[in-house]
Amino acid sequence: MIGVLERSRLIVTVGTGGVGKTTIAAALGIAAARRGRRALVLTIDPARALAGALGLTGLAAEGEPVPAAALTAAGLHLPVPLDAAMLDQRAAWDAFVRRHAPTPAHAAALLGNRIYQALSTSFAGSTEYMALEEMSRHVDSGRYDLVIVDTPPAAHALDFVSAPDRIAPLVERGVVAALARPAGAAGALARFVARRIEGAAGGRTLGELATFFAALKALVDAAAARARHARAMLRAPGTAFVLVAAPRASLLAETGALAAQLAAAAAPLAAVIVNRAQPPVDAALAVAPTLATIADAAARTWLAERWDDAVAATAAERAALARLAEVVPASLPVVAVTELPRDLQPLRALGAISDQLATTPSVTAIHA
Amino acid sequence: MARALHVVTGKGGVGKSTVAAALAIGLAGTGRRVLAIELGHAAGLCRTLATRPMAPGAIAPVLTTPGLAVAYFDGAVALAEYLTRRMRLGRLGRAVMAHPLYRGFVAAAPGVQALLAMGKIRDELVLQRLGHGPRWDALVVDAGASGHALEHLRMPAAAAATFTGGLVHREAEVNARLLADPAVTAVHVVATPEDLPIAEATQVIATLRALGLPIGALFVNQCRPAPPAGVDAMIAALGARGDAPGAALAAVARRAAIAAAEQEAALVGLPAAAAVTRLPRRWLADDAALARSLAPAVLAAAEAAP
Repeated sequence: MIGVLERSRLIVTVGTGGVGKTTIAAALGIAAARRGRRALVLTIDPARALAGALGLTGLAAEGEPVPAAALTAAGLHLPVPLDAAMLDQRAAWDAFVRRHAPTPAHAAALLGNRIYQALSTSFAGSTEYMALEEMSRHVDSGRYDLVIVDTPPAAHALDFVSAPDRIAPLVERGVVAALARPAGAAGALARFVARRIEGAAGGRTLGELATFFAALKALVDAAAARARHARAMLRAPGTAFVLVAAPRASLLAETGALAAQLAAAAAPLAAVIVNRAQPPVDAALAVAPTLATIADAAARTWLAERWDDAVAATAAERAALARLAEVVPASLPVVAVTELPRDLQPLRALGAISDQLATTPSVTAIHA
Repeated sequence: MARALHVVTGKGGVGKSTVAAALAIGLAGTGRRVLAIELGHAAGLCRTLATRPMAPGAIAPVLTTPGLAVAYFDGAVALAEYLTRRMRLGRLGRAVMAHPLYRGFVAAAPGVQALLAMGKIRDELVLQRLGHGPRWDALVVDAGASGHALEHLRMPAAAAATFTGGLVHREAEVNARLLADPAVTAVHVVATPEDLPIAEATQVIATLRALGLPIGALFVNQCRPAPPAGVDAMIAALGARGDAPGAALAAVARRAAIAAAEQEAALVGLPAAAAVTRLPRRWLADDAALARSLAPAVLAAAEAAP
């Protein structure tokens, strides 16, 4: 894990919703800062989980340092500041339009369009596209040794990687031109499709769509170039993908397949982090005599059940990790992070997780 | 109330798919013909109910539960069939669907994919077997994480307002009416007893209310039993023994007590009006077995929801 933190310029955390991607991204940021690297943690999470964990009331798009006082209070003494930023989709789109529109008049026409206002934050892949844009902007800024991107919650971990490819049909020149002026579309089939869309969408809406696409046309080259740039960045040496997974058999079973898919997309996985593993208990320990000393029957039953739960959890998670070690390459670091006491202050918990990330040996190494 | 359309949502990782699977199994257990639908990728619900990898739009019977079938609808592929029928494209359908102009429109126009997915669900709901009444008595839709689900639930009404005429407007209006009808639809919300999932569930319920959508049950999944009185003294006594079993039991008891306290603190944040159903935390290796064990409680709560 340490190698990844020291070598990479860009770390992208991927994983399904609810596994703790944001927490791991922040802990990686702390671990990097501890090694003297200027790091930015960029979160896309609309739940503002990162701000809360870092003791910030809100996060700015441009990145701001985590307050030194909050870090010191949590026992974290970082040799360099750690920055955090959050994607504000609406603001990011507006800024993108202003940056890349050929003239201020073009920008104003697009920003004032009703379809643009309704659409820019909601079309398929919109979040991923803007996240990629912000990612490359921060990497290119030269302000950071390492940018850590917490990807949008997605049903599939590959959604983020494939976003530049999915945006492509949207910004194809011919498509934009045809949608802007359906009657003038080239070819009989294109005109047929355009008429069908016109019939489906209704006259007034199509007029607005046309205005939108006409204004968008001016941005197409810039958007396509930026998408290509982000695509190359995701596959550049110095970029590392880190998969965050829950220690459940059903989710771990997919990890091997996912590692192969990422490799096929030329975006190889650098590490797997299994988050929120339960602290293991020793099933062989003879606890029955000790349990028998508890006089209160209700208390005895409650604790006996909790012990059985802990034994079952340990066995289920061990089996899941062993299966994972079998399906991923032995060279891939797999680090299990143990869940911390829930009453720990959030920033202290992040510090403890960053310790675990740096010091816990890989499961694959243990099984090998 | 015996509703026909159950929609399930909640924060990522709280067990939405398990609850949706449990509800589908429970409904099928009462003799109803049930279709369980996953919106988007084949993920949790298909993994729990299907025995083989699924193709988008294909309906597969669930072998362990008579009367239950499972399917997943993804944005583009499964909807092509629906669109071909509604837009009367006939044999040209495939060429149109592959055309960059069509793909650009579907990718770009506001929420078209979400709108079509809801249309496809309505299709399944009104589908008739020739002379034998409706094909399904109930649909259970695993709508995915809150943001994804709300986008789909919001879209018909939003599209009816945005598209002022034409086919999209008519389709959207019918779908919006169906979703808002409490005699047909219930949206069930799932959370775990932790701050963030509870906060998200509260927000989703407020949004559903603002959108005028019928709210069903609120499931709090993975609940722990309350610790006994005097748990702190018990932990201290176990620790004081100074042996390995005492220390291990004390550690387990302490973690369970902290988690139970966190649970009760998180549950305080729930909206007072919500009909809360607690589901127990269980360690079962098999998702399907977990869903079957929860089915009676989930069914009872979903049917009892006002």
